[in-house]
Amino acid sequence: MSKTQGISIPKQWCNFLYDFPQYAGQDVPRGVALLTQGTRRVSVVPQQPLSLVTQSNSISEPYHEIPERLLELYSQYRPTPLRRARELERRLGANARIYYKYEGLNVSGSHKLNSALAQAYYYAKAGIQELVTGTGAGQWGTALAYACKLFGLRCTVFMVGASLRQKPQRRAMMELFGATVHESPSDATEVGRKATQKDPERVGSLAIATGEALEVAHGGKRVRFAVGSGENCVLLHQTLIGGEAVEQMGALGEFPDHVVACMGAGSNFGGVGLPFLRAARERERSVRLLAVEPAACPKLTRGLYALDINDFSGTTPINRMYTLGSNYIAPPIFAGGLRYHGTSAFLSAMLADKGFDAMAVPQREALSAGLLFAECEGLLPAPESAHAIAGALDLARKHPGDAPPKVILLNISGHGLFDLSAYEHCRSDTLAPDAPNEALLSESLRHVREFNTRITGASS
Amino acid sequence: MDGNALPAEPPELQAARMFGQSLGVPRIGVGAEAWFRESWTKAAGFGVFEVLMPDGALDAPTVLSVLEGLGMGCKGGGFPLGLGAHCFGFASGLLRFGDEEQKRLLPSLRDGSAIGALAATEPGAGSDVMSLRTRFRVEGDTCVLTGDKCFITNAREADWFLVLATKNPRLHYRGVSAFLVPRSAPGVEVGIDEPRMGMHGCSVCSVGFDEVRVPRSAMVGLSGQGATVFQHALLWERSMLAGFHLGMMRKQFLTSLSYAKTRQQFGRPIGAHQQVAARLVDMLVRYRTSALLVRETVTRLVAGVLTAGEASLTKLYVSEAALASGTDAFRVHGGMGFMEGSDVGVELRDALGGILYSGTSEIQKVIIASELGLDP
Ligand SMILES: Cc1ncc(COP(=O)(O)O)c(C=O)c1O
Repeated sequence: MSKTQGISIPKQWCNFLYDFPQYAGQDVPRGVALLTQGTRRVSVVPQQPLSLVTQSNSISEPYHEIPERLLELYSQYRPTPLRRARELERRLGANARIYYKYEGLNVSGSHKLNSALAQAYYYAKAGIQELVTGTGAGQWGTALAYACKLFGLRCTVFMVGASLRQKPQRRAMMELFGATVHESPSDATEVGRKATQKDPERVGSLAIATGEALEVAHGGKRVRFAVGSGENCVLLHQTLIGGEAVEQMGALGEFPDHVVACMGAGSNFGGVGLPFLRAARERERSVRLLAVEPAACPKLTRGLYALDINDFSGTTPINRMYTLGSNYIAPPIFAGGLRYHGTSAFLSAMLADKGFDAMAVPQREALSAGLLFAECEGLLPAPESAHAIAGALDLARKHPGDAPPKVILLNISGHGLFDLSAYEHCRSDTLAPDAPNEALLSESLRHVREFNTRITGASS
Repeated sequence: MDGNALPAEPPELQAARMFGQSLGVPRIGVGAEAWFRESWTKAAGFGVFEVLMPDGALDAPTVLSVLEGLGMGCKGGGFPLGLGAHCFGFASGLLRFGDEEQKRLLPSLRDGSAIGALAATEPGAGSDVMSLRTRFRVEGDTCVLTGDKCFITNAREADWFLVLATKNPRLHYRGVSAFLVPRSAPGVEVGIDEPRMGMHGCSVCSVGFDEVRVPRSAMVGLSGQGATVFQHALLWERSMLAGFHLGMMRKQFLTSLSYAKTRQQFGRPIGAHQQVAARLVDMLVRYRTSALLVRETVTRLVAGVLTAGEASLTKLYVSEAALASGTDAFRVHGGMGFMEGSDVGVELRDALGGILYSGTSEIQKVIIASELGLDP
């Protein structure tokens, strides 16, 4: 198996639920789950095979073994590099050592392949023949398309319209691997047609794309919906990132004071950060995680910690999470992967306990940070990852010069080679305004509040 | 004890229960086979076969959750029985005694594309394999099977049968061998799905074997090892099917409890009457005792230390408990339970099946007694 910087791929995923069993269960009041189940719900087959159900819930084992076949496939692109951003440090003149982990070196261009391979593996093993999904920026869709190709599964992707028009190459890429791609909201589903009435421009959102995918998944016997982020099993698969990074930092004699990642629904953030929380505990060190979100979709900093649905159709189970409401449609920023209204339930519970920090950055600041990183380090980050860079820069700049230097690790979750127009707009100062539509936001939050009053009232 | 005195549902149990509920009510007669096949495909996609007959070791806690969840969620015990016949009656023997070539069948058994059935019972031989009338003779590299089997679960859909046959009844159990026979083999004839009073959701048919020729390599285990293969299958079936009963008992307890709290007679809930309350307590005691027994049995089975008598004891106790609780649930529901299609009515009929299939209660007692050295 390949080795990078003297380390090999972890043989196990790090089960963070073992470390934080208090955040494992869903604190959804009794009766609510039933109340929110429409009549349609009852006849819906659970979408995940039992193997993934266990991975999402088990608190009894510190690790989950990675099957041999998956290790083989991971070795196509893992371990991924971890490097020190010396030029960036120099340019900043800040009192910090900045390291980055780079997940853009696979065909999907992002960390998403880590979970796509695992899910395709388990679904194929259970006799499923097709996976359907929703994708924001297209990285998840591309990853799933490739993974499905490897395991002989068909793949159908609903991609958020705004992102699809920004990045037609993503569609080409998915189609290259044999996937069927729909622009969402689409006319192919009832959910899509309904959404189009409210959103005739077909800007779309991940909640709508997910709803469309779920509708298709319910139609067929050997078709299932695959989820790109947020669920514990996805975070689990992503712990490969942090598992490697702990070793790689160790080989350099370092342990970070901060681990920084962008937050869509939480998979790259959890994936890189959670293994460091375990390592810190084991080594009696301390580390603080920082999640960076776009100001256009500020669920962690301006959202509610409340019960909410995950998709536009309301088919998925409800979660208690940081949310802006599934009716919220974020301005069409280039970081399409960060436009999701909700957050992983596990990470939300942790944030509610102040288990990590969160900040929001405007698009211009994020993309400028991405450009600076590109100029210094010769890697063009995805606009999503650029948010993490902005967060790391903020930490580095605020750290006083006379204190011991800060050690910062940031995760570059993907490359930005399909996002050149984002950076062009940034350079030429022609970015569209990205402030949230305040009226829409408060309306959506009001809706969430009402929903919570109604269901908790009704269930007690 | 909190409101309902039951241990929390583990996530896998919850998922399996919801899966069972999603299958809806089994069709009877027209559409029954289509319903079964569709449900089978869904069960594979949900990973039921992966968990119940994995590549590596069984994970006892997950297995227990899945069995109980399916027992709770499925409408009636028929479909779970079909799953059990495939995973335990058919595949467990293959996993333990099959050679490399025979084991190539396993992936298709796991992904739902092939279905298996155990063809052991005959009109004149149930648990008593020594009275088997199905014969085989060896002609060079071929074995030729002839005989009639009855009450074969899954036979309508089965692609493969694990058939028990004897070379010569006078050799007693040493004459018995097990064969892997494809449904497509000339001379295999499957009868109709027998009309019956319960256990809908799977098929139960007679199967005839008329000069069916299979290669010598279709023999599972050694020549004369058929009885051992059969005992192994029964060990698994008896231990695991009890897990399904458990789910049914849990569900019945919960629905009866809530019915007893809401249904009013003489100006108060019927549960406030001591006789009704006592039934609910009995149901709870049976459920919790059975749960302990099943957990221990499956754990010992997985560890490879379970004896035939222990499996019989669990099967005996839990199936009788399920029948007793089925009767209690039926009584608690009063006239409602007597209406055609009522859940408690369906469950009571299925519970009657439970004291028969995989060996009657009487046979289980004989087996247990013989482990005590009380052979006649
Ligand atoms: C490159 C990249 N980074 C980050 C994200 C955000 O997702 P998550 O929070 O699951 O890591 C995405 C999602 O599409 C992405 O494509």
